[in-house]
Amino acid sequence: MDWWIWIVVVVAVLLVLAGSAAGVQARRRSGGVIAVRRGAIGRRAGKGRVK
Amino acid sequence: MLFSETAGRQVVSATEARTVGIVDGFVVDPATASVVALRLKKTDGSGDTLVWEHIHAIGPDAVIVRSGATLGTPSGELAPLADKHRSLPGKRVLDERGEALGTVSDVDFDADTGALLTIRTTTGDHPGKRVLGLGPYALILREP
Amino acid sequence: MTAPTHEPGPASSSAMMLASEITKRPVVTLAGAAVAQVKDLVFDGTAGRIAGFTLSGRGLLSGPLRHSLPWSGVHGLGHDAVMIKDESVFESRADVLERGSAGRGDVLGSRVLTDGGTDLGRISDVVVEVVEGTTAHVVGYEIASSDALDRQGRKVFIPLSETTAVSGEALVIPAAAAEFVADDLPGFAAAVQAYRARRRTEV
Repeated sequence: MDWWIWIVVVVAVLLVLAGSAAGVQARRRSGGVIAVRRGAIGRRAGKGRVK
Repeated sequence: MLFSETAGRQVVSATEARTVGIVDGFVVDPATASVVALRLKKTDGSGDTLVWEHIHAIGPDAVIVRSGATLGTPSGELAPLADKHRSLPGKRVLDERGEALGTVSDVDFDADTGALLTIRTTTGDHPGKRVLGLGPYALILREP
Repeated sequence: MTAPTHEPGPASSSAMMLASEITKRPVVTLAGAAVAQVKDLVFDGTAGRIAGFTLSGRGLLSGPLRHSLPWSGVHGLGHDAVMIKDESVFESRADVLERGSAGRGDVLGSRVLTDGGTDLGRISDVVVEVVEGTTAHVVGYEIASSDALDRQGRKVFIPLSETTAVSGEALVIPAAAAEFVADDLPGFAAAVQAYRARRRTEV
């Protein structure tokens, strides 16, 4: 096989690794909206600054 | 006087009539909303920070330093303020509610006291008294 | 419903925001340092009150943080940043999420049912009303609508009522709320007012 094939293979492997790392990172940081029960949070929620 | 006018100005010692450096930047203390030191470039290597107390006058053509004034490296309370990441020009501006007010385009300051008079941003001017905090991420302005 | 104040400016009245706009927003101290970014929005599923935020780090490789931001620590919730006094306002993640409380879960993707049993679609986003940048409630939901709403699968906004129950699984709303559907956020603000006025006359 030609020697440059190996460069192509290494670059392809690196791209796949970088892509999967970026995907995992995006999932770790992606957010959502979490609903919790009333009462449990009442004592500390909603205390805003009053003008 | 504006930051943009003062930057690049020669700094001359009064006693020796010798150029000690060129104004490169400003060290601002957000707690007092004032310039507390100048950062110089092209110095002789003894340091790059000129504290406000050592400045005799900031004139239209040059900054004159007092006799016996020395340059130094930022130390004590000045050290965190002199961090390059706290440089005002180009800094993002937020108010304390979390609304963006653009970036700092220039600053007008009192050449006698060092007090910040006006923060000019890409979206408008704000009095220097509104300065609440200055960190690596943003300049924070309090509500008017 | 919000009293006008003497202060001018866009944030002095109330502002509608989507939860998806709040997540990823930087958390900035009054000293001007960005110390985290918002990961999840945590809210009281019954009263709609925002309880706080879970956080992730701002670095390229940083993941979820152990500490979270309770609403009491929020100095201002703006369009560009969540402002806090300093890092001392953080609490443990478990305290903000109240570990062990039932009915907890990500509401995005939950089905929306009327109390008549009609499936209106799935929740695609949550509408938050911020008053003065300092108090915040969930006031409605963005729904990827089903055929029942006759909106050809478009996204619509539906108001939240005081009696609405939501879990990570489903949201059940009074059938009357389905009449106050809006196509966009400005229209939704009006729909919320109309819906509240209607509910007041009913009581």
